[in-house]
Parts: sequence; structure tokens; C-alpha cells
Amino acid sequence: MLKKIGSGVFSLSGAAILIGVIGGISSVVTIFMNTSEQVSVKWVLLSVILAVYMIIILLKIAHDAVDAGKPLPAFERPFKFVPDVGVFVIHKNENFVMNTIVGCYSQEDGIDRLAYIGTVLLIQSQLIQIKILADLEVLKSIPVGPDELKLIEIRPVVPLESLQRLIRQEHENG
Amino acid sequence: MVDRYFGKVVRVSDEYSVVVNVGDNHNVKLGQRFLLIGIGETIMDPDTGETLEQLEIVRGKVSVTHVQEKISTLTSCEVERDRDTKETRRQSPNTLTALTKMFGDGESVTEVTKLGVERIKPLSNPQPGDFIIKL
Repeated sequence: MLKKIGSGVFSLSGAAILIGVIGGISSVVTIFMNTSEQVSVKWVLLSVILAVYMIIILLKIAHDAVDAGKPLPAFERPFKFVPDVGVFVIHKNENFVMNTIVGCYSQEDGIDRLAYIGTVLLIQSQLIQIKILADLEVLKSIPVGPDELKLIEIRPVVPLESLQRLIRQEHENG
Repeated sequence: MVDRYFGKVVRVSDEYSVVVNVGDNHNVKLGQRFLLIGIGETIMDPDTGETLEQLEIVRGKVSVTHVQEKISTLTSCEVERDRDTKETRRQSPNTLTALTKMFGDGESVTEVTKLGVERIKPLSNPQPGDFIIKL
């Protein structure tokens, strides 16, 4: 954010705008105020402090607005597996909708493989629970530790072939 | 009680039904559907160490089967189906078919698929103090 503002200000157009604004303000000030008049330092300090406050508040608002406008990633990495209920826990992400089918991809040695098919079981205020529906037997065991979980990526996308396999399996199992 | 939670389980009747502390006074209607959840462990963000929230453990989906003034009875409304079974019936040749056997066409085989029985899914370990969320 700061980098963006910095590059904006310290650019040719930024410098031109700055010179224009300073010139405009000084011309307005000289029309209405006597510049040869002496003013107390306390008024100068007060105006500087107010200006700094205003700039900080505006920067904060701009920062929040930029953050809010950022699109969410189309995937989430689970940070916990709860074995009792068989769910992966991920951060809340609007790309994951209740009851939809998701794919849990294992990323090992640069290879991306669909390891589990799951569903969005529950959306909480800050978390989402992903229940595993089918284990495609890509991994020997369900990852539990933090390092193992970092190798899993959950996306709201499942290849048609895998989905058809799941439906067939569900149909056979009843 | 948090706004998200509409009511609380006050009694577990059996593995299919629970009684909650909201009824006609909270405008509960027959057939209304809820998600029954229990409160689990507190989840922390491993990267920031920040406490996120408590995990909600889904016990099952329930619908209102009886409403009283201050309480309601909710019953599991999820359905599970047994596995389909395939049955193969072989019909031994009779006199007429014995003749046809001579020409290479013997016993008849019929495969029948018996659909699995559908039944109400029991709730997953419901406890007094569990909450219901509107669906």
C-alpha cells in the first residue's frame, strides 16, 4: 500500500499535481490573508498537528478500501484436521458456499493431485468446515500435522471424472 | 445466547429427537428445519496465534415435530439408505427348455437389484446444551 502511494506521489504526474496544489493554496492564502503578519507558533503547531491527523486518517481509510477490494484467493489451505468429526478447518472465504462439493489437492514434489473430495459442511463466522466424502487413496493417511496440512490445497473445483466416480460410489454404497 | 443460535437443547429424548427451549413464544412452526450443533474445541490460527472461535460440531439436521408454548420437539430429518443388493436367480430347465438346451440355450438367469431401505438417520451424539441454528 505504502509502496503504491509512494510510487504515485514520486512520479512525474504526482510532482506536477503537487506543484499545482501548492501554487493554488498559496494564491488563495495570499488573497485572503496578510502574509507579512506574524502569527503565534502555537497556531502553526495546531494546524500542523491537525493536518498530520487528517493525513493519517485518510491513509487508513484508503488502506482499508484497497484491502476490501482485493479478491479472495480461489483456494484455502486447511490449518487443522478434526479426526472426531472428519473435517478440515479452513479460514472463511466467500468462494466456498454451503453444501457445495470441493476438492482437496495434495501438492507434493510439484505435482498437484486430487486426494479427497469433500463438501462444505458448515460456515461459521471465521471458519469453514470441510467434511471428507471420498478418499481417493492418494495419501497414505489423512494429514494432521501443520507441515502435512500445508501440502493440502482446498479448491471449490472438482474434475468431472472424479465427481462421476464419487456418484457411482455413492450409488453402489446406497 | 449468541444471535446465531436460535435455541438450546434442554433434553435428549432419544437418538432421533431432542427438546429445545423455544416454542410458540419464539414463533416456532411445525416442519421448520434447523441444524443441531454442539460446541467443540477452541480453534487458534497457527500462523498468528490468534484465537478464532469455537468449532461447531454438526449433530444433524432436524425438523420441528411438536410445538408447545415454551418448548418444541425436534426430530432428525436426514435420510440414509442401505446399500442396494443384487440377487441372481437361475431357473433350471424344464421339459420344454430341455429341448431348447439341445440347441444350446439352457437355463435362464435373472438379475434383480433390490433397492436399499431408506431410514431416518440418527443424530450424532446429541447433548443437552447443544444449540440449533435456523436453516
